[in-house]
Amino acid sequence: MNLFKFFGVKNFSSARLLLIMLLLSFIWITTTVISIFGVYEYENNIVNVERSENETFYTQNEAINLVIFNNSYNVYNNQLKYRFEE
Amino acid sequence: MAFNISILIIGIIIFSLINSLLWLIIQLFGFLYHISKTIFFNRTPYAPLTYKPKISVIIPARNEANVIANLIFDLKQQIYDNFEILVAANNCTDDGETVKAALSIEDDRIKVLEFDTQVKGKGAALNHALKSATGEIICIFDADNRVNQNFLFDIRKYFYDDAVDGVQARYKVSNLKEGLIPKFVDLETMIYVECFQDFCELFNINTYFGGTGMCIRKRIIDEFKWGDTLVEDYELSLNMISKNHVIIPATNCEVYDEKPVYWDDLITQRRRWIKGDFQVLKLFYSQMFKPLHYILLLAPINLLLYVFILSFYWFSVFTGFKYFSYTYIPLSYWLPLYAVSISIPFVIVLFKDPKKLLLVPFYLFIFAYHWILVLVFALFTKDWNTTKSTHYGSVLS
Repeated sequence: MNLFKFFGVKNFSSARLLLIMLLLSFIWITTTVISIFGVYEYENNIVNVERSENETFYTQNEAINLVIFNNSYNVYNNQLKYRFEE
Repeated sequence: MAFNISILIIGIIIFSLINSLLWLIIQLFGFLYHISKTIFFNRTPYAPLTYKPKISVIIPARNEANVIANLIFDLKQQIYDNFEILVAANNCTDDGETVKAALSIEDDRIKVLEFDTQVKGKGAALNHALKSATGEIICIFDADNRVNQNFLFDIRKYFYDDAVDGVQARYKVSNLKEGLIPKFVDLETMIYVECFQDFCELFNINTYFGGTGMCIRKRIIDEFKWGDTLVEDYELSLNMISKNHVIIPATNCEVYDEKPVYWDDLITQRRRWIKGDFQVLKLFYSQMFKPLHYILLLAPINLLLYVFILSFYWFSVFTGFKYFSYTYIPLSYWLPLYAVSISIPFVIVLFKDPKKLLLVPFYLFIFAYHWILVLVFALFTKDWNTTKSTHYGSVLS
């Protein structure tokens, strides 16, 4: 079998499309792997931050739960402030 | 502080998650139902041999000289005899080659209609051919299709039930040996389309027409006609569903369809679908459908949002998550979901056709991304007259 035909390549334009797809796929796989490791590390670091007595800070998971399930925008804002001050 | 887009992104992600969850449910139930049908029971509808409605097979064929004779040959071999074949050779520019090819097989039941319509497209050809149809049931095939000899005999059984107005057969790929793309399209059909049809059969939900291997009662199609959008089959389905007509999947009847072999043919074909999906969304968004149909109607929007999220996501990865500073779905939520959604295709293919299992990762991690290109091309295409699919006339494999 013609190898070009097997990979769906007829001319320059189809070869270019195949290359773009391979590139998209490469970026997707690497960024997914990077983010899985990155997010894992990030979520675990936040938990270890010391909290002051007067202020309520939340870990990443607590904050997301509050924002989604309690619709509490203030929590989200506080948390932002906290992060950026840091 | 830089502008934070997290709150916007999380809305989009929730929308996408609903869509993914819906597909997970469709795949799971559809697949389990498929297994139980295979092992425990056979759900073929009953119809007595004396039930012999006349079927008009309409084949729209614009410059299809290299493929049409095969389909007509298959139809001539049918064990069911009460049917006529109408070849709609509209706007042909091949000096009568299509007509010659269609008439190369001698049979009284074949009529070739040669005509030009001002409005181009399959819908216009079908509407024109419909005027000459005398059957009680209209059956549509693409010129590049192949069918088994009992197709018409089996599909008429579904119409024995008066409640059924339309039937859509199973799609199979006829040119599997031509290259990788038909193989990937075959996997896509197996993983999504077949599961969707099984899901619809299990819960008695309306399915959609796919443009080929579809049958409708004549009185229904006389009432609705084919529309002018680029996806006239989908438009007709939604028109019928919105008026409470019933379209069921015929999971026992198979139509073999030739799939694109080259990347540019594939993208050309699918960008037309996406553009058509947007047209249909514009026509039907205000109709009250069941949630399932609504979510599928919004599929092109979902794809658009997916590309939007992906671009922002990649942008953030390369700029250090500056704009995503907070709200995102925690790892423990999305990773299991992601893992499940990736494993289901493996399980489905393992059961249905284990020989193709090795192709699944390539399908999931390379081929599936062609939809991004399809969307981008669809958004920037101006001329839709040049997007007719190419048919190669390959040997049935």
